[in-house]
Amino acid sequence: MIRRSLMICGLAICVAMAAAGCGSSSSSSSSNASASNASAPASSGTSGGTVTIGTTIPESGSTPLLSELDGYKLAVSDANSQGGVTIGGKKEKLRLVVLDNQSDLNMATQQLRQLVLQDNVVGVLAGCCQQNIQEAAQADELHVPLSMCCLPLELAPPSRGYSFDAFQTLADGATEFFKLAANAGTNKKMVIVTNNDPSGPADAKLMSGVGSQYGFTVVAHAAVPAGTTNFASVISQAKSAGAQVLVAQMVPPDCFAMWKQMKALGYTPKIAIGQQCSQTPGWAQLGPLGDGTTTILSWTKSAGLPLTQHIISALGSKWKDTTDLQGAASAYNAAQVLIAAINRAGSTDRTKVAQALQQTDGTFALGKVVSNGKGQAKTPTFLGQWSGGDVVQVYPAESGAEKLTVPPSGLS
Amino acid sequence: MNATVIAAGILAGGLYALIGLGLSLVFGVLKLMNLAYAQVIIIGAYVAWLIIDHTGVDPLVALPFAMAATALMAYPFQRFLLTGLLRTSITAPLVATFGLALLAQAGLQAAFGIDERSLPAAYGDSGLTVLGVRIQSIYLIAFALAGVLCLATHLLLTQTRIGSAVRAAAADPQTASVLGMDVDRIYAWTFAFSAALAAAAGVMTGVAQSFTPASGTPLLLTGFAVMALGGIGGVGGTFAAGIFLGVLQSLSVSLFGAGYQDLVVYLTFFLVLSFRPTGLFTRRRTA
Repeated sequence: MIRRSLMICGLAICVAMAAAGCGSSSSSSSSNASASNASAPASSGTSGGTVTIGTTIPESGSTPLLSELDGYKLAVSDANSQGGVTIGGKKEKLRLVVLDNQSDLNMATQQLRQLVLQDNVVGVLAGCCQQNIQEAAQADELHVPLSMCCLPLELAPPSRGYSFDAFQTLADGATEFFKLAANAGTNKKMVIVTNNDPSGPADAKLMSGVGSQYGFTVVAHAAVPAGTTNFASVISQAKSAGAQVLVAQMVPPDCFAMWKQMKALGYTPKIAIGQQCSQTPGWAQLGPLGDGTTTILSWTKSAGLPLTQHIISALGSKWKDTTDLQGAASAYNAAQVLIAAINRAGSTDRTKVAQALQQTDGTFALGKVVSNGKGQAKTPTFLGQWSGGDVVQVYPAESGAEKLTVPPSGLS
Repeated sequence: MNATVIAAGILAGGLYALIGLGLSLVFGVLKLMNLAYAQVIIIGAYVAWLIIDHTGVDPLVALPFAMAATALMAYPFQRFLLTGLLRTSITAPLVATFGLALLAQAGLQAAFGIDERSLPAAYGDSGLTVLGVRIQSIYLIAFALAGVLCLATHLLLTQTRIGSAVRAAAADPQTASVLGMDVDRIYAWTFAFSAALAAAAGVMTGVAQSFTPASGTPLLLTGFAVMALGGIGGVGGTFAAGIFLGVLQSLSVSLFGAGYQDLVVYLTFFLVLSFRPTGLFTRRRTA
């Protein structure tokens, strides 16, 4: 009986450890039907007329990025439908090697090395967000071109010639928000609530700095640990000070708790933005309460960006939310940038591809992408507002953009 | 400092008491530190979500079913796994519950994904004014539920034969076994009851806040703090400790800022463990 219990316990622990990713597994797949993991010629990254690029991206773990992965795969598939990339005047198909890093930064580091040293990739498509930062440094060290996705330019580390980030800036997001808020008929009194991790205070400083340029003043501010559920104190301060603009930069669970408490305690700002928290598809789980919350976007269905309808028709049945499609579009953009660089280089030499990457100047899924010569290119910023479980664009006003609802309907 | 902040702290303390009650019960009776307890809370929330999603009922209607389902899921783990491990060593069940916690989290993630979920209810984001103080309805409901469940648990333990058996098994399992009590079954039902209490906490958390497969850890820490402050196994002490913790958090935020709330709470936790390890709300035992 005891032995059986011990065996069951041991089995449970082993299964748990395997499920939690403590094993050494990683998955590898390719979007090219003819792909195999047979070793490619060591120097060129080609295999019988195939050019290999790779990505280490979380497909499992705490932060899977499946819509971004679909964006990468779609871009590669679209390139192959046009014959692939041009190397030495000849068309060669693209092969995408995908490694699942299980949301583990250490595994992402190992896998990037594997992609370069074993899979002989010509270029790498980055994971997302924090992983971008680590991968950028590695790419410069390994001398492999890296095209990043979904990392605001202020957060990208300086490029040493191999990493490239094409995305929006935090400053643009703040500026667009305050332009919108300035026309919303508020008293320009603002409350800022952030998490007290390193990005929170930095974001608070940015928002208060940009806000002051448009006449906004901070009348209440709180930096709370992630996992906070009781916001009574800061809500009380905001109510007493008459703040009509709320800027929240917290993890989604904290925003959920705060939004519920705001409604219950009768605090209704005229405009509320949930950075980080309302940029995820999970915000729809708040139901009607989440409606009217503003969020910063890099892509919308109505912005008139190139290939919008193609991305929607290819991926829209799987990813119904604008926030998920945004991730796919941003990734598609990053892949297009890398593929275009390979075409311009006309070679699988990584250094030549990196040089071409640094000279990017074209129109891709997120719009005009023009390199600033320092491994970055700024893409447009949009503002959306949650309505009926999805985000609709409210700024800039484009065909199909909606009018901003003031105050947020969910909190009214 | 205003009355709204204090009221919020008191009412939040009801939810904390609910979180700590089951943990304290299991540790008091089985001498088992259940590291999977937080995941049981989250499982209870997901079970309620499934019931609500399929039937459209209110979370309070789904609550007893979620409690029953979670208890039934928990029973075999204690009966056929943990009870045997309890006889072998102190560390084996600790490791086992840790493994079960990881397994549960991975399973929930695979089944439901990582996005936040919330249990929809009109009282989830509504408030009412009592004596001029604005309070959240859900926390009032959670406070009342915590009170009812604490009272029910106390009565069950002190006024029923089952409760006498549980207390006997807790005090001296070997003698209880010699006297004909099926201690293994008592342990299993205690564990299942604790899981039911955890599910209740999960439902209230799901309505008041949100939950994901990974959101259990802060709840476990809250449960430990309540258990330590209230004294292990003491139902009334647990309720009082929950309220104490809620008020302490609210006051610390109001006085020192939100950045210090965890520091104040865990410093208090450490001081209580150092100077009064039996808990703030238990009677000292004299020789």
